Amino acid sequence: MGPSQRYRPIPAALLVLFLAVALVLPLGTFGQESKAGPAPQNKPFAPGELLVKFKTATRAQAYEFDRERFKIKALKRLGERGVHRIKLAQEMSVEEAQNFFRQDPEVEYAEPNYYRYLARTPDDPSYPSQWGLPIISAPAAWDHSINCTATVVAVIDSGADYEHPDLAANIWTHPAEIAGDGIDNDGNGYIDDTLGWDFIFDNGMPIDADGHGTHVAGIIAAVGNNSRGVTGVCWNAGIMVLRAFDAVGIGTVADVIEAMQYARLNGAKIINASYADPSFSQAEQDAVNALNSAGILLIAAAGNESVDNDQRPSYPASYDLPNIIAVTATNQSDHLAGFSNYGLQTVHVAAPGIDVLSTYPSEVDVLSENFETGTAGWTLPAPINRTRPGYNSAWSLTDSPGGNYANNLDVSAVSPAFDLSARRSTVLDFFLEGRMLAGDRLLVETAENAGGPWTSQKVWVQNSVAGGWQSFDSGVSGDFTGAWQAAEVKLDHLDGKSLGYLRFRFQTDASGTADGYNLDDVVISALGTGQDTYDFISGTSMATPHVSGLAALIWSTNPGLTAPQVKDRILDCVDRLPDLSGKVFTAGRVNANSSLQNIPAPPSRFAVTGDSDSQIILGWDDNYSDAVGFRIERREAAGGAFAEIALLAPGTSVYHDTGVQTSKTYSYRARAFTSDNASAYTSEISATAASSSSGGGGGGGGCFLTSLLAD
Amino acid sequence: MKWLIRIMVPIALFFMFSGCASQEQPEAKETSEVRSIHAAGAGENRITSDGATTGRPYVPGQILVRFRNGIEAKEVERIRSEAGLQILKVASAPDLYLMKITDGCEVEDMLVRLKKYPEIVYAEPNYVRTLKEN
Repeated sequence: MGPSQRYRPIPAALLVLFLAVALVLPLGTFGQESKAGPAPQNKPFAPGELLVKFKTATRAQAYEFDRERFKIKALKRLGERGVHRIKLAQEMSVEEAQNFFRQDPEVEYAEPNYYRYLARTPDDPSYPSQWGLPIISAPAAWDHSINCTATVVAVIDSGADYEHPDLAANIWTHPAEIAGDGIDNDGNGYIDDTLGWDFIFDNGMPIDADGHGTHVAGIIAAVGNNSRGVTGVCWNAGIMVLRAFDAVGIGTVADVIEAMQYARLNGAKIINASYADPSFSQAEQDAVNALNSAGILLIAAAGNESVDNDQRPSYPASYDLPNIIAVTATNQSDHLAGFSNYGLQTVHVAAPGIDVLSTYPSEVDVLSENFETGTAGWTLPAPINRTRPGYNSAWSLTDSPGGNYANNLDVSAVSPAFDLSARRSTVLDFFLEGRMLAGDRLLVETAENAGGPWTSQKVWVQNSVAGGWQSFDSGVSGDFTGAWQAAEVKLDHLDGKSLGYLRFRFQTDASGTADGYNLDDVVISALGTGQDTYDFISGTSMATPHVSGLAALIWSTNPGLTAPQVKDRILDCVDRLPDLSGKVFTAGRVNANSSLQNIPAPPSRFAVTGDSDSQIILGWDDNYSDAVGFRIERREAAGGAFAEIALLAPGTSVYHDTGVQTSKTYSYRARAFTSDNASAYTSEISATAASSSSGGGGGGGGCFLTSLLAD
Repeated sequence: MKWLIRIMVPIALFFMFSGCASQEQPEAKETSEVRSIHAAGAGENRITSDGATTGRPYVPGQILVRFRNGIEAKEVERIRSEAGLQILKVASAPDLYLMKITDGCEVEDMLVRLKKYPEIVYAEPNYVRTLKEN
């Protein structure tokens, strides 16, 4: 490619002007650092880039011709309007280059490449609190791509608040299922599974009764750039909500396996598994293996027990299968979090997992009474009344204000009505002090109507004297004198009910009396749905979805990649951290930008296109416009190692290998490279000088570490 | 306050079932009675905070059974009936079943009982999995 081909003569007048500009601005100034001071944390424009509109095409060609002199690394025309994207040599700042081009009268405008960049910085108001996103270089990755829509991520968790305003738009919906018609339209075995599935209650409403799953889903794909709340690693993606964990974060292998099967058969490419336990399950391993056969990645939490998973495995993260990425947690200082499990062989990467902000169901108090200012709404038949003192306060409620309770008592303090519509995970908390003899008891009962029927609930009471907690299936009895004890009752049977009542029922027998109980600080709380609420939580559970989101971003950008190739991109492109050395397989924390942006696509259709006695001709398609060039490697098919035989310029798509011996068979492979990265190799092809054969195809991609880690 | 229930539920999962019928008599006996322990203290004695000294937690009264590939439904039915099991669901099609123990047998004892069936590739407890919020 000579100048005669690319550089047409320019009019003499213009050439004079061109040279004048070059003289006015001595090139030496480009070598100096910008005087503008340190760049702001959120750079308003892509570093090292400039958008310049030339008034004439020849003007652009003039700069192109003399790139080296003007410290231009590359110049690329965008569309037909004369706008060029200029990549600057490293020693030239954007400001300096901008000033330079603005003084050229043939330049209509020159500006930093910030329109494009701004579009990739989300406007979500809580984004500045999401420290984990800049630390994994998500903004730079978003500059490359924000589109995750091509990849469905299944979240096997406690469900998700799929009505959350910062999640709803990114919830996967089942295209073949009609909501609410009671028919399994697509015959997949699940009726009305339009939003995923609840494997605990076996229905199509996998709402989150814990909060964990909503948080995880938001880390992967809270709606980005919607002027609301937070953003996910993916701004837009299909979150398949699969509920296999209950209101307190407990699930079973049976439900997890069924959820994996559902994900596999309904289009998920990635499964987020923010759970872990030491019990090995052959059935679970088989299920993950089936995912592997289907080309699905399982991204799994390493666990929060501060143990070495190499010594004490945590499943499913620790199954030795190629489609698993085991993830541990790092903090804001890029140190391993204190709770993090690790494992040089079995934990692959780290990701942010401390104080992570994400979507969370609102926790609301639907009933709260401390008896300090009265008992409005409560029905308190005698002898029940307020008494002194309370729990850290003046007043409480008691069965016997005057002293001991009476024999043969059956009397109830009844709460006002409360509303649990659209609430989940309802819990009653209160404090208790005093004593009731055996045969006498305090029942906690609930009803859905003021007139009953009333049902007794199991009560957990802390015993600070004996230590631990006691549960009472049919009424609290015994001695809790001298210290207020916390008590808790699960009321999730009332979840979603528009009307609920609570009563404390004191029942005594005919023999013996005591002080009775004092009750205080009665609170019924529940999780809401569809509320615009967020929370910070920590765990390898939170690190894992950062990686799931990244995998979705990589896969959506490069749909042709296989699961192992996506895994390689994540593992190979980490930022290595001293604190992770010897503890994590890659010794690194994921870097979204490295995984996504700097990796050239490999050449495709790599094939033998011709041969003779003295040469073999190779051809391919260039898939990466920013490549610096191609490397061709060859070995004798009989064996031996590949050796580089050619380093070719960008744009090349054919190579004549003249260094061959007649009748000898050779194998070839190729890859594209940039200044700091290389693509995966193409698959090998082989040919014999004078009689050809061919094969070939594309490959994946990876940072330079690929070959190191693969060995 | 949810931490309280978070702690207690795994413990509750450990509540004992009534004793197993003799392993020499694998006939199903419909005694699904569950002996719940009223005082949580007794439950706590069965599990320590590190979970290591008292074994690994699983759902009492349930097992996962992997039948050999291509097993016929009537064979599953025969084995289920003989062993005293009830099908809760197919956890993964076509041959992984979640079963309920109907005769009060302990999970460990049932696993031993099932070893005599060549149609069963493996059987294991329905282990608990835990979300990893710290």
